[in-house]
Amino acid sequence: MRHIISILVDNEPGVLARVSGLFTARGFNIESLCVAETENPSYSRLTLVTSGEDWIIDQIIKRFDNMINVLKVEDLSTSESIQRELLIARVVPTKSTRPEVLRIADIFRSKVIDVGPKSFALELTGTKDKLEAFVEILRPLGLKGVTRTGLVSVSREKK
Amino acid sequence: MKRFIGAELFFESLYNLGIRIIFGLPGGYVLKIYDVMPSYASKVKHILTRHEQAATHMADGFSRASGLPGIILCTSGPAATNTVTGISTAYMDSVPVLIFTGQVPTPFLGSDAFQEADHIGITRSCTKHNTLVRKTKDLPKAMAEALYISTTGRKGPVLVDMPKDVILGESDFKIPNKIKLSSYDENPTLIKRDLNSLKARLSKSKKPLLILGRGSCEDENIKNIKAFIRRFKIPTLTSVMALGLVEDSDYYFGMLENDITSVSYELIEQSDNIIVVGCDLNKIIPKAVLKNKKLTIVDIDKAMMNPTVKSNLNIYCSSTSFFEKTKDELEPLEFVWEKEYLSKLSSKNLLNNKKVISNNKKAAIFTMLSELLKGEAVVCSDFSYEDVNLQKFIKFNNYKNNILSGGNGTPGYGFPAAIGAKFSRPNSKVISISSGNNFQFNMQEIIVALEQKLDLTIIVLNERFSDKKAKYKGPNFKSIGESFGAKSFQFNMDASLKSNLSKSLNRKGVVLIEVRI
Repeated sequence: MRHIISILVDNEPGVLARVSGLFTARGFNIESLCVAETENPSYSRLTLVTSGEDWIIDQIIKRFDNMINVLKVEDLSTSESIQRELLIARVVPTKSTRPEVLRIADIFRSKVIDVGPKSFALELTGTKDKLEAFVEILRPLGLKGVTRTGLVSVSREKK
Repeated sequence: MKRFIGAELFFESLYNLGIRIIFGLPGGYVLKIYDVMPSYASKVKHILTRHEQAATHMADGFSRASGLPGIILCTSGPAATNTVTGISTAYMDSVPVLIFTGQVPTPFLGSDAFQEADHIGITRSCTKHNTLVRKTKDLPKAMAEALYISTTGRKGPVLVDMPKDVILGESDFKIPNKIKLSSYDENPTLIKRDLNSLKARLSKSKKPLLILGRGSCEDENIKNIKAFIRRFKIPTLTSVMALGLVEDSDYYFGMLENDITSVSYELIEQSDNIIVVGCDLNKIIPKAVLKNKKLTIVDIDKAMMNPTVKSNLNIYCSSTSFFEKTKDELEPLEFVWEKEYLSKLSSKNLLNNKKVISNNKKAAIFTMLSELLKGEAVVCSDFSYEDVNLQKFIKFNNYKNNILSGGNGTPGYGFPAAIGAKFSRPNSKVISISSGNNFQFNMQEIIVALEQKLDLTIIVLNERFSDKKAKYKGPNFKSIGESFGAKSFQFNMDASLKSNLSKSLNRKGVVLIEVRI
């Protein structure tokens, strides 16, 4: 099953290696990883997406909890959560597909963040499905490259 | 305020933290520490070893025999990588050990400098925590934190990496009195909800069983555990790591072994509620045996619990808190373990042991030693996987007398651990017992025992001697001992062995006994 794990860690060198090391040790792949400072600059939040057997993920989460540099671990896939990801796509359309690309961007509420005589750079925020749909539609229209940030997620307010 | 260099801060901090003895070996990047050492000689004693792995085992044995933390100092690169086996041994058995390594100066970190290794990366998966000190002024705090982390919660090794410029730099000496780490619970207590579910579980169970592991080996626990067993008349097993914890209790049924004919298997099969305190059952018993068993797992480490097994009750708390609280709050319950059945089990245990002793020469020697030592001596051993069950043939009056590499099964652990143990328990008899092959891993340390004028008995079981198929007969351990200058003896497996052993066990100084089996 796919798991989204949110980890609050000390903002120190070596912490990321410690966290990712647990996945290496069990032969797990990290599908996406996103790290940045929180409102308190001495802490970072790490959002990590992986898939594997539930009990192994559970073991990994507990081992995170044991780490001195880890303050809080949460498996967001077990609770209701909101997820977002940012994507930047570079598209090189032909003369005839140029308006088509802009129309698609409009439908997806994507922003053009760079424009040149030959290409566009488009920015899009959304869930994983939305980004994947966007990429698929752009593919025949001259898509040259995609850069994604990886998922960030917060749990919904508890009712 | 007085200014110190990093090397002096190292000793000031050690002394301030209550450390009086360290094990180590000098080398390039820690030379400054060795330079200032003479002026601190009265405060912190340094034991010069011949190999860093042995130094780590010594610190480990020192810690296990006394409960105090063990300290190692060594240089970078090859020295630090040599300690990894020792660190891993301490990590597997949750032993508080602190490793201080030298490192290349911070500007050269990661440049493949001479004797450089990434100690933090290498030891990440075998330490409880590790840290690189970047500024001289941070050194005392880092050391205090390392000691705190190592000796609290689930104990374990902590490595502190000290670059050369940190050791040479200057700073004031400021050390925190109290360490507070956010989100680190050093002593989780038994909460009401868990206690209630335990009560509910016990009220339904007819045949509970208690299994104690190293996690329950704390001095303050002994009284409470014995009271617990007496009060509930609950049959008890200990893991190999916790032998000697409740040896004299009436309901003690020996060691938990992975053997289908053993009493421990029978008890597990019969029991309808197994309370496991501070023991990693999965390391000892195959999962299939525990499949449909109701387990109550009490542990200070959440990673020992598996919530996907619905029949388990997981209690996250320290063993001290568990036995302290259950002492008063649990009502004695009616259990139906039949008296006759239990006494039958005890005699089965004895019978099983007798059978093994008559077939296994090592077991026979262990029994002999046990009779001679009467449980008072510290016995340090290292055995391969198939021989670990032999440990049960030695009686221990105290869990601190039982020293062996459990989880890691490190060959060559016993002898250096015995040297370390002798330093923390100078008034106790200390013996090391290893097979000929394992002894060769760390036999160079005989010279350390001689230099330090220790009273130590080393028993080497030379197995190859009687093995006619063996291509290589192995060395003559008696002459090895003699060449170092130890009093050495060679005995054969015969009727006079016991009296021979008895005589040589009483000798002073370093005594090496080779038994050809």
